[in-house]
Amino acid sequence: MTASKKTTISLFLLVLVLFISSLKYGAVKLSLSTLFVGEASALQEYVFWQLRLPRSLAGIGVGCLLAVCGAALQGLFRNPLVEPGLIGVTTGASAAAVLVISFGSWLSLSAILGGLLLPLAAFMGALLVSFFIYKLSQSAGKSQIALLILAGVAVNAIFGALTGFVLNYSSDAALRSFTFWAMGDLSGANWLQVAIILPLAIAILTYLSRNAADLDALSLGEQAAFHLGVDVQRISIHIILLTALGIGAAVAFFGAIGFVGLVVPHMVRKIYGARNAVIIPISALLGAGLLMAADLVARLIILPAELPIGIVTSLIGGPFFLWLLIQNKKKLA
Amino acid sequence: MITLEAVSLNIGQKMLLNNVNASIPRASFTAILGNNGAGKSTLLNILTGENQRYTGLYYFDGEHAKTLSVNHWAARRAVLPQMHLQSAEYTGEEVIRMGALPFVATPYTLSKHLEEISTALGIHEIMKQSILHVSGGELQKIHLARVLLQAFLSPVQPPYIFLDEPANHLDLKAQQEIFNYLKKLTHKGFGIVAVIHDINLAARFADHFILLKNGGVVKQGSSQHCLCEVSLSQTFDCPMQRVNSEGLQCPLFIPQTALETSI
Repeated sequence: MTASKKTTISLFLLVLVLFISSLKYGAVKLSLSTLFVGEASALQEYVFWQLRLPRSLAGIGVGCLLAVCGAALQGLFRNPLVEPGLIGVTTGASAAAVLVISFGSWLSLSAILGGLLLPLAAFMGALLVSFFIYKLSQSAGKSQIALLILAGVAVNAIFGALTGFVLNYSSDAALRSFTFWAMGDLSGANWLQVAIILPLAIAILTYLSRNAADLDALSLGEQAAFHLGVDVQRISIHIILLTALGIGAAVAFFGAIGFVGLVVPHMVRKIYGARNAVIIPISALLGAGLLMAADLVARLIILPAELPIGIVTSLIGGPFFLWLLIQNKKKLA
Repeated sequence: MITLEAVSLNIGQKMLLNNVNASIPRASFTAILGNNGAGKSTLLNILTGENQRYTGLYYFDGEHAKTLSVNHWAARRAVLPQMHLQSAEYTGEEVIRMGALPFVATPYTLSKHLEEISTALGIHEIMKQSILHVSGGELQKIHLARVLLQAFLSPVQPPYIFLDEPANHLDLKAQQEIFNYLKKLTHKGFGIVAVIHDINLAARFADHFILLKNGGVVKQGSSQHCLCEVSLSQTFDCPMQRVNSEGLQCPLFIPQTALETSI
């Protein structure tokens, strides 16, 4: 058995352990065995079925989506430093989501339609920014990453201002829930969200895994990819649409959970090399694991209260990104 | 067989190619020669299917080139670009294997071709290394290997191989070995088409020439037809002198300014 196979199996086991732990631990500690033999109290049953399980599944879905979308965008932009949050995609999704949260009630839609409107709006916001950034990067020459990140700063400022403007007209309660949501929060996960997030994560993961070789060819440049029979236009548009959909849905439901899309693919590349056929599925696995781990920390560290999960991922991801920048100093100059 | 009829390309006011008529046979080594800005790369980009904004007619094996799909192109020709982007830490072998991307190949066929190519180019050692840590010449060989793999696996046999300045970064020995190998491929029917800056390298290995100047064809055809002082002086805008060397099958050409200053 090769070293990377061993790592993959350990990773699988780790994710499994994290999944079971995330079902067990929290403000109320559950015993899974009592639940399965049917001896649990009504409260325990409720906590398990309506809070824990959807939350853990949502964690898997979101972690997988953010990591896989990060890896795909890095492939498309040919740069390992691209992250949805940095280039403004997340902020675009947030601004659209805030618009719907604040003014969506005017449309008086049913619960399910209202639930769908939020991810759709966030998708449009994410799509708008991705498309703009992609067009910008296509016309850019050598200093692509500097341009991308500066454009991200501008986009973040514009949509941040827009969000602030909308919040100015919101109630105090909406404001408080927004603050929590803006930092990323899995605590409100419900089955409707799981029913959207999980299939979406599986669909995007499947598409990207199948087209991983095309992403590899794209790393040689659009010209060389075309020589190798890759329909560059088509795959670029698919990646932009799918990542906007994935990031949009994740942001709409659970807020901006930063740096997962950056940290996870990078760690995977360090261990497994550059081939996307490996990076994409392993990133999905590690992303799911990392998010469940961060969620466990977020809900256990200040019991009985909770931290927003985005604080945990940013506290890990921020320093990691700085370290990455220092490593890449030469390339950026 | 590739045939161009009255192919022109203008971008804005700028005329990049002007009424190019040319034919490029298989089983031959075609060299595209010309000064900077003569239209060599533009012509190559049209030939490889990248640039489709030209006017005139381009027939690839009797088919209109503009009707070919991305996959058709990948099966009919492989291309070595002038510059190689390297954005991720692939190993040399991973990059070479990308040449198999457009096709379905059994592991046996794949490893057979990989072995042949890596032996011919002498790259067994560097295949295991990251492409971010190899020299310019080594990177050139890795990409050449990728291009050859694509050509060997192509369902349309023998395909064309387009090379934009293949001698870039290669040392003299590697240049000779690789051009010799390419020459051998033409005996198997491959159509090799290369933009080459070194006139003497071209004179030695190529048997078909397209001389370009200011977007137009000065001359095209066999060595005997194209390799003369008059045509080359006109093409390079610089007086060229023919030097015959004993024991060499082909003539050598030296820019006269260089001769004068060295004497």
